[in-house]
Amino acid sequence: MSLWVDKYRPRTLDDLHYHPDLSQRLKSLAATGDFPHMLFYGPSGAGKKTRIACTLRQLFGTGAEKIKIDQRVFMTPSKRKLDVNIVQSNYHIEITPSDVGIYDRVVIQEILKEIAQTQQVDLNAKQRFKVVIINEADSLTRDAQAALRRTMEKYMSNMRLILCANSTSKLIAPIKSRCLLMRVAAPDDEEMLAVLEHVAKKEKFHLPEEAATGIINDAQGNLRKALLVLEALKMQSPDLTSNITIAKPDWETYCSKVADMIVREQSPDKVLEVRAKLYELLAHCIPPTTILKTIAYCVAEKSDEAIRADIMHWAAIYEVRMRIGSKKIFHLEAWVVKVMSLTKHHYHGISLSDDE
Amino acid sequence: MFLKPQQKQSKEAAKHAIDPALQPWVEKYRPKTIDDVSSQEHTVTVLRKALTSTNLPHMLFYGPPGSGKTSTILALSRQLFGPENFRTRVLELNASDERGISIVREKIKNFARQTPRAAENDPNYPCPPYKIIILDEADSMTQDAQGALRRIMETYARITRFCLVCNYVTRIIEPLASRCSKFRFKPLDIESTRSRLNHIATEEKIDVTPEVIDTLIAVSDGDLRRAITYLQSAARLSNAGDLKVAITPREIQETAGVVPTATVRAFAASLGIDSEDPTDEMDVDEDDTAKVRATFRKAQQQRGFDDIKSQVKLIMRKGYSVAQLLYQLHDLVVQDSLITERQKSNIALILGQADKSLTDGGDEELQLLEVALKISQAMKDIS
Amino acid sequence: MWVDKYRPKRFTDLVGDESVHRAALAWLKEWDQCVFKKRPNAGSKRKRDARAGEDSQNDGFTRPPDEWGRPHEKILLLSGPPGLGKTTLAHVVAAQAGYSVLEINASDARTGNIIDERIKPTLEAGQCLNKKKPVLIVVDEVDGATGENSTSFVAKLIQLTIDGKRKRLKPGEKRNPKEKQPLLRPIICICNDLWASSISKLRSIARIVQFRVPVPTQLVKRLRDICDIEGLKAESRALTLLANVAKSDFRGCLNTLQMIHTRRQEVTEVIVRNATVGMKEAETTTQAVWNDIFIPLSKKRIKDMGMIDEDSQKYVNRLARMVEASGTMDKVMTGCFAHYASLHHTDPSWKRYLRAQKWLTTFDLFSSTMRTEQEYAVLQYMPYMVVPMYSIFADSANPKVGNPRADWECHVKAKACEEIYKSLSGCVVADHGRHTASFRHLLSKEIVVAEFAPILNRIISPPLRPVNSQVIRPQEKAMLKKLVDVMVSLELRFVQEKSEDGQLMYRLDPPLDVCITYEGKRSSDIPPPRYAVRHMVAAAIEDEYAARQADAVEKNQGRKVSSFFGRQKADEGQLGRREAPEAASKKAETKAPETEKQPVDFFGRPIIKRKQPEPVKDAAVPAPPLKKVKVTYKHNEGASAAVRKPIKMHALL
Repeated sequence: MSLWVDKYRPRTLDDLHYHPDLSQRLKSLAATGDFPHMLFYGPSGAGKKTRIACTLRQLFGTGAEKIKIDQRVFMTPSKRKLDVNIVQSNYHIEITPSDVGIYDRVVIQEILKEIAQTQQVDLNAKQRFKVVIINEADSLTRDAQAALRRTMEKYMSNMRLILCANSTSKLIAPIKSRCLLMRVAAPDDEEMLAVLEHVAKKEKFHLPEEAATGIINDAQGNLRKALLVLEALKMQSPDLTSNITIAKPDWETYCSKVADMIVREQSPDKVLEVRAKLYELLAHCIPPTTILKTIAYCVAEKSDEAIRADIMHWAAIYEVRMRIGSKKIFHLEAWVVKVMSLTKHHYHGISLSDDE
Repeated sequence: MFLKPQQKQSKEAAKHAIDPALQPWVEKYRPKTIDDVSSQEHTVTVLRKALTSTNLPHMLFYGPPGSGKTSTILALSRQLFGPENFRTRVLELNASDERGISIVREKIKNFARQTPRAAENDPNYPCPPYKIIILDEADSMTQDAQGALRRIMETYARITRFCLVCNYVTRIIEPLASRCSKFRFKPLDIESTRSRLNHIATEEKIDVTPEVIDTLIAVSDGDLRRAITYLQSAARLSNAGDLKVAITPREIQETAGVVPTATVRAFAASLGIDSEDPTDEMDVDEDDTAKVRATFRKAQQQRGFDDIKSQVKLIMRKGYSVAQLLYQLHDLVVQDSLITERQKSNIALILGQADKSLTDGGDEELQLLEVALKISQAMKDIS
Repeated sequence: MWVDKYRPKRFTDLVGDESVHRAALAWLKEWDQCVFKKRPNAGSKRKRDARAGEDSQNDGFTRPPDEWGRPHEKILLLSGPPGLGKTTLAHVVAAQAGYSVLEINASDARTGNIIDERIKPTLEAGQCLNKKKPVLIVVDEVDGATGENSTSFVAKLIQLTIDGKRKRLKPGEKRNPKEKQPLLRPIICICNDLWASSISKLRSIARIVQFRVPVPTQLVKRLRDICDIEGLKAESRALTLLANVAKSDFRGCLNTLQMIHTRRQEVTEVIVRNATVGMKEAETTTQAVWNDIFIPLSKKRIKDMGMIDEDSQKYVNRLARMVEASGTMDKVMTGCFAHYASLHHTDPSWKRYLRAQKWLTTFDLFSSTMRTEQEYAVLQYMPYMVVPMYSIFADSANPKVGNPRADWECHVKAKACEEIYKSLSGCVVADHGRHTASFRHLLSKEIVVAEFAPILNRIISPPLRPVNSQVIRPQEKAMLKKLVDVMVSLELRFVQEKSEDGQLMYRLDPPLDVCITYEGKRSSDIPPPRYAVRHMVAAAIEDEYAARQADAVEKNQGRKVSSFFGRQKADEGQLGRREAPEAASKKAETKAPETEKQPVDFFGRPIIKRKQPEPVKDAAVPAPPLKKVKVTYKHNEGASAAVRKPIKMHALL
């Protein structure tokens, strides 16, 4: 039933496959009454949320898995209504601030205040505090982060925060210093192999080494992706024998096509063609950063060593501008034009003008 | 919004609810009197005088985080008013409280214009006839809100003193700053930090080796609050298990989110920064070191695009914070004696730009790659 | 002010297109029966004939007036560029027909409230305060009204015109005060832009009278008359130039003349040229700006704009002014972006492109930062970031610029795609509510888009053969079972529908496959969707659902479900029976991929309200084809999660 990635997701700290010392720490922290605010960080697919869920279970028992979803309405200061889906159990509540955009401060403060003012009613509860999980904490606005810092101290008596972020770079220092940092590194190749084999064993099939290596190389430390790919492969060719190819997601294939176009020919017509393709990618909701990054890596791979660094340099520059700007396509194309002209000049031996 | 007394009470109640053992050490070991404040001799001398004469100007405290600004003003107010009157005489507001212009106009003004009630004579506390409004993190107030404060400060100067606390004095508008006497807080020097940490460690009965204290000082960078928080976290982790484990420097680094020195050095080496033998000080990642260094050494000989790219990917997979890594890289480069001045300034420039980009929300991987490629180029260019 | 001095007082004073004036008056006269209780008498017959001839395009008169004796369209919408005398016309015809005017214009906040506060009372009273004459309401600049939701000005205005469903009052019967009063007084709306989105609804119910630009000669004649009266010596050429530059904005012409008059006694070409610098810029369309950016001025345009040759070389200020005046700076820049690469020129070093890109990105950075930081002081510098496009690209051989569509299309598509992802997320969430499985960790947007969706699409398209379920090979059977499991747990299904050419086909719902394929091409490693296979899978899925629901009902049997719903069960049953076929057909209608946005309940409302005290039913009708219609209710709502259980219809009956 259901997807493997969910079916074989560890439910308790003991079930976790890797980072045993981390699990040990979480376990002992949960055992003492002195549970701090926590910040889990690490790359996507490393198992942050799994660990958080396991920790909750360790703290509160299976009750933390009985979840309901509520729709709540919040009022912004400008009297706009916000509908927010909130996942909660009797012991914890989960919010994803990116759902509410720039109003995250309002929503978070509202929720935290509410949680902090309600005492744990369940007398059988193992802990006296409730837990608030903030997913994608790195997308919190500065405003919301600033508001958090005092709240974290103020409501320490009956509330704990667990933040989950891909990186700590975008969190302000006061928050970091109020949390116990938990780095969840991506599993290394052996660890991933172990997990894949564990799943294969449970599903009663043999996982050929070749397929496993292929999947692991493809996933780049992203275990979630690895498991999804494994399941897809298994569905498409049940025996998983030789010459299986791991299909890239469609958008990745499309990106590499765009890269091809950029490298092959540099002309205004091509710029227009590339633009059409970029629009197509954006229309499919692929995050612009991902588009730029993927294409940039592809182009760099296909280009001469001498200009690779420059290609990435401009990618880095336009990526930042893209974040600040609002018309993503301008910046994407600006990069394309830049790279095309770089390529052109490189192959035609004309040194770049003093334009920059 | 609560009115002030209620808020204080609820906070007070909340504090009572906390088991003292679970209280953050930062709160627990806040200086009780201004004499306890470490390492800010000049300020303390001036304030002590103010305490005896019970005459206080408006004050502006500025300095890096964790240098004791808030602690000082809290301790000072306690000494002035004593625990009884503290609640009615002091209003503390910080960034998480709403502090737009409307709050300045209403809450602050209302508090400012109340004439303080004459306090019962307590011989222990001078209890001068004015109130204190503490605006913590004042640099995050909007310009408008600060502007609105100007008049309030003057009008009610007789019965109210303001104390603005901020990190960046430049963010306080000039008219406000000129109304205050400024106190600069310097980052704590190593010795005071050490003695403070040792004091806490003895009080809490935990075993810390001098190396651990050194690491704490190194990662907290003069910020005593950070150092104490890290110490508490580490102590928590080591005490939490069934068997007590000693706190290791590595633990402190992990708690502080610092990239292991070996990793940084190895990464730098792959970019062509070949530093001296790193076994001298903070090399704490014993088991990994050999392995990591071996791989990086290999990479170092080629230093091609693909190698650098794979190094970057490796770092990303480990989940380290890039901003932190850049910071440490910077320290490493600046202290390195083999790199020429010119190269150093080039690299500093690169790091600075990357840091700005990261602050603007740039993608970590791209920025790290950019830095790596640029540094590698810079190292090649001149050497 | 000359404008007031020479404002026409009577109908016969009006200059310009007479047919327009008459059309307006004719409409107003149609109200006579209602307002003045006049019978359409023989005397007006002549007029009526004339009218019918004039505005045959409006066709208003062929319809008989309604029970109140009102014209069919209760609102007159006057539209046309500024300065042609629309407001004047409205006032003049009102006076002519014997009304007093209540004017609502830009100085009033045109929100929904004002209708309630000012218009409604006046309408109900039938006349203005202290005035005997019946009232006529003139809403000036209606296209500037804000808001598009139901409380907006325009929406309320429209509501006014709709009569409540009421029986005709019998004599002596008391009027229910709560009942809606019919509209008994005429309303004239005036707008500049007939196609403004804010008045789109108004367009369909109003009689529209469009002002046409009068020929300059007419204008010049009138100007000359005025000059003569005022004792201003005017050259004909100067007046013609003035009329040209003003593009027949009569008000503008008059103001200019008056301004000239304050200083001197004669009007010459040069004076007019100097005086009209900057005039009419309020009217520049985005289109015109693009053309001016990419194409240098022609000799004729230079002359038309009243400039001399040297002026035309100084493009910076001229263009910056235009860009600013167009008011759609972002759109201008988007157009430049859309256009620049297709321009004709050779540029081997790509310098021009690089430069253009630099300006484009800088512009975007500035405009975004300006918005997020609310630093609108930057706005004044923005036009200068558009101007460089001229120096980079302007060439007389460039083609005219069309409206860029790609950006908007992309936006629309992205929205549609987002909706699909949202509904997918919705499925995943719904699932976990039931099975306490937790797919939440797959739900962050980036993960759904970049990882989950593409791989999921592969997971659910295994290479199955379409065979009868009896002869299926065990391996395939296992695969089918797994597939069904996955799809059911994610609430994905195949929905049967007819394609455009009438062929039956199964479509994935939510249409996940649409938003992960590019340019409509399927990735090579995914087998093509085959009707037979999908049919087989769909059937298996429905069976699975049925089985699960049966389980659920059994589990619920012991509970007090029926008592909770007891109050409603009777009418629900009816409701269900009556509406089931309807719903089924509705469901089928809404299945077109582009309308696949949000689940709607029976009443077409999006299902979002959760906190309603009374459990409102929404129904999913999975009606498997070729079977008898099966109705399943799902209680997704209610105050307590405890009673949110799937039950079968007969458990309620």
